Amino acid sequence: MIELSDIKFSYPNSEFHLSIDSLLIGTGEKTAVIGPSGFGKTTMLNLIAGILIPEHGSVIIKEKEINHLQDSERRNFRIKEIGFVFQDFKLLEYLNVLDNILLPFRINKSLSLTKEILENAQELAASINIEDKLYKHPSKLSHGERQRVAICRALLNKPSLILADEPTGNLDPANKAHIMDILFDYVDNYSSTLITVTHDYALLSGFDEVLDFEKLNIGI
Amino acid sequence: MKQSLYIAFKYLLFHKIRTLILVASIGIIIFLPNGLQKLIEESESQMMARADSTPLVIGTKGSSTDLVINSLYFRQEKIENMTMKTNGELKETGLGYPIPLLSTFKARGFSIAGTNLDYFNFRKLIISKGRKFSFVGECIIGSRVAEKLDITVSDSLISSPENYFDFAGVYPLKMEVVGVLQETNTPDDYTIFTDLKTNWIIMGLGHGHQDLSKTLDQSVILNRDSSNVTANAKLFMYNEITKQNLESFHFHGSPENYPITSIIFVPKDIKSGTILRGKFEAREILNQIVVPSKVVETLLQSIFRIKQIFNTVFVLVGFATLLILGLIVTLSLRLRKDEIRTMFTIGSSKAKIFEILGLELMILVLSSFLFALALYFVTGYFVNDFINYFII
Amino acid sequence: MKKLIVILLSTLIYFACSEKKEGQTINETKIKRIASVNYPLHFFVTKIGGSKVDAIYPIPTGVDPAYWEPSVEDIILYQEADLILLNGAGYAKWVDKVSLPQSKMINTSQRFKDKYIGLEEGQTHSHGPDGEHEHKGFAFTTWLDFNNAIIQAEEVYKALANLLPDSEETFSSNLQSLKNDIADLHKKMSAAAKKFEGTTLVASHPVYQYLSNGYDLKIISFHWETDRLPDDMMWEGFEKTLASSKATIMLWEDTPLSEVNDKLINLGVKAIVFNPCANTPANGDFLSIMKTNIVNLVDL
Repeated sequence: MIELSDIKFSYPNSEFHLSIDSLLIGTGEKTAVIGPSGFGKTTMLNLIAGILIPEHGSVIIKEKEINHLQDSERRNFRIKEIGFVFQDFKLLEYLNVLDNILLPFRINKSLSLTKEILENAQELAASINIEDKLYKHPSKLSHGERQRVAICRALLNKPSLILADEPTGNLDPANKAHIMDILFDYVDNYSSTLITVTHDYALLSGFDEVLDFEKLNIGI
Repeated sequence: MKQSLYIAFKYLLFHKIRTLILVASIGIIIFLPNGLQKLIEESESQMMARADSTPLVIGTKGSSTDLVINSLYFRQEKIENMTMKTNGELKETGLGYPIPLLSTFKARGFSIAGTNLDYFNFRKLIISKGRKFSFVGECIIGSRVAEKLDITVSDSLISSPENYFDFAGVYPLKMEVVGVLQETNTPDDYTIFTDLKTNWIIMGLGHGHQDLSKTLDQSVILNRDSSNVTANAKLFMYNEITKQNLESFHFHGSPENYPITSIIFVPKDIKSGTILRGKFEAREILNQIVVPSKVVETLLQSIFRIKQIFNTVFVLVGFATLLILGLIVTLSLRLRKDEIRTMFTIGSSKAKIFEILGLELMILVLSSFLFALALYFVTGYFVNDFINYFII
Repeated sequence: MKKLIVILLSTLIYFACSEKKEGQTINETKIKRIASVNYPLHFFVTKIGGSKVDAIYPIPTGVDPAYWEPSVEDIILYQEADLILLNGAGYAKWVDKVSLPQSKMINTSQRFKDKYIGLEEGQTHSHGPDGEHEHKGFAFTTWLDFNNAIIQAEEVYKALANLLPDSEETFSSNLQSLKNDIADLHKKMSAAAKKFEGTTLVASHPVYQYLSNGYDLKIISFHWETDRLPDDMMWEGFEKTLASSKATIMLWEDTPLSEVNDKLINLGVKAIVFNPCANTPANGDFLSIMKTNIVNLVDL
């Protein structure tokens, strides 16, 4: 479902170059991306998300060449099809848990915030045991709880692709395992695709594929 | 737009203190020049209304401004007294009627204005509680006096002791409040009114004491002969006028020589007023006569100049405040870079993010305007204080 | 629809009539109230003002108006009057202790204030060796000189005419009639007074100064009350005065007690009632009382 071909990308005024000849990730696959820092792992995620545009090559997701879409089309695609989970959660401190979960529906016109969505959010929160925290602000939550909120936000719209950048980086071992279980369960239940950047080698056994950027010589 | 507004409100509400500070500071900057303008305009309007409603004021020669301020606002500027003889002379002209005023004393911080009942008819003052003073020793208080001192009919006020002649002293007199005036939004609200005679009693020109011709206490008698009894300083003067001792109150000296601070003259018509002014110019009456509206106009012109200075200062302060606010907004945006990036990553457009931030600013500015508007409306209540503290 | 029109029309007519009534009320002028401090002035007001004014005089009979002590309600009555007529010469002592609107106060003896008769009797007091004396004051029964009464009546007329210029003619005519009556009193009093040229009269109370001054009568006054028996010291002083003055007539404000009258007769003194009429008489009016006073003097 995700195909990267002959990708060449570099940042302005930087010596960094990312070069991917070919990368294919199938629907429903759980792929881990590992490698030293600075090898372009997050850059690759951003290219897949359409946040960055390659100088050369194509990024195809669900048969759509993302890098050739208009900005608004790319944005709309991203918000409907891709869910993001970040290492530092990236919750808005001034919104409560429920508002954070519903954030995508407030910041893009292509998604409508309906009563049904609200109910779904509440159900999703309940399914990962944060339903009693809905009206609290992130500062009142533990790291594990915050990451679960971020996951709810990412999964509410039932994306076909989840991009997780070190989702367990700030969590203790028990929470790490819990978070990965949630993601894996979602992928299994909804035939979604998961691409996770991680430095935590203990989690690799749960993935279908491991992309080692150092061994594959991707990114300089 | 609705969702953006929601997020914007949430941000501002979460940072309550910061929001309140910003709203307050912007609001105050917007309010200050407008509020000052309103204060000055209303003060001008009130002062001119007061001055226009007072046809002529007569007093001893000296500062016409002090004379007008004493007569219209009962601010006890140092003006020389004149005597009731002038009052009599003015009455005899038949050109109108004089209203003598004596404003020298205070009670609990408020000026006491001695006058007669003509003043109340002239100013169309209405009693909201109680009645007008009937006997000496009674007083009527303005609405704000009643409010600030929390007193009403049947309560009492004691005049503040002062050394009037520097050697005799004046006698604090306990006065009964018999009436409270309806609010007028004029200096009358802040004044205690008594009969002139009551003021003269405070001055010591009149007093009450035991009957010296009948007293058995010889220690109060300095000298006695067939026609006169002279009392010494030991004789106790009543410091309150009651039904029982009212009869004993009397005055020494000729009433013609009793002091007053000024006279409001109400001419029969414009021609009579002009004739009277002519008499003063011809030195038929040796005092000064002023038209209050002209004096107040001159006074207000100085205020106008000060207003210009204030406005310039406000513009500069406003400009500086806006610069600081701009800096705060810029720094705030920098601090929120991560938040903005998150929204962009999730799928928001730059336009949407600008919309949210723009709405935050708009809510702040609108709230500031509303705050400034509220302050503006409240300003009206302080006009009298403004006049009292800053103009006169 | 027809019903609605009828209701609307009726309402309009009702309010039109109401407005007419209001207009009528506004057009009616409130009658002017004239308050006086003694009966003579009150009498002048009723004679000159007639039905054009409401003459106010709250002082009860039997009370000396000069020393009357008004209540708050009485003072309010004066405060609300359109004119307050004062006698002058310090007549109404209470006026010094109360608050009245100065613009409505008229001193009816202002024109002859330089002829006020100062009191010589009585003891004043002062405070400290350099203190001002309390004022002894003036005699105040000014109207007993009928020339003064005419002047006071004229001042009453002026005040009323100023207040109600539309009725000036009526007032003027009434004044003239009153002046004629008072002038007649003056004529008769002058004639009666001639009888006492070169003689001395005594009086029970010092209230006849203007009578004495106006008609060249020599009157020595005492401080006796009509309702009280003089004590021995008072009789002693009286007899001494009689001896030196050879007075045979004693003027009284009212009929003296019979014991006093008897003793006076024994002393060769005839008591004559000359009622100053400061307050409302039980019978008659100012003119009739004064006529009676003069008759009493004439019919000795």
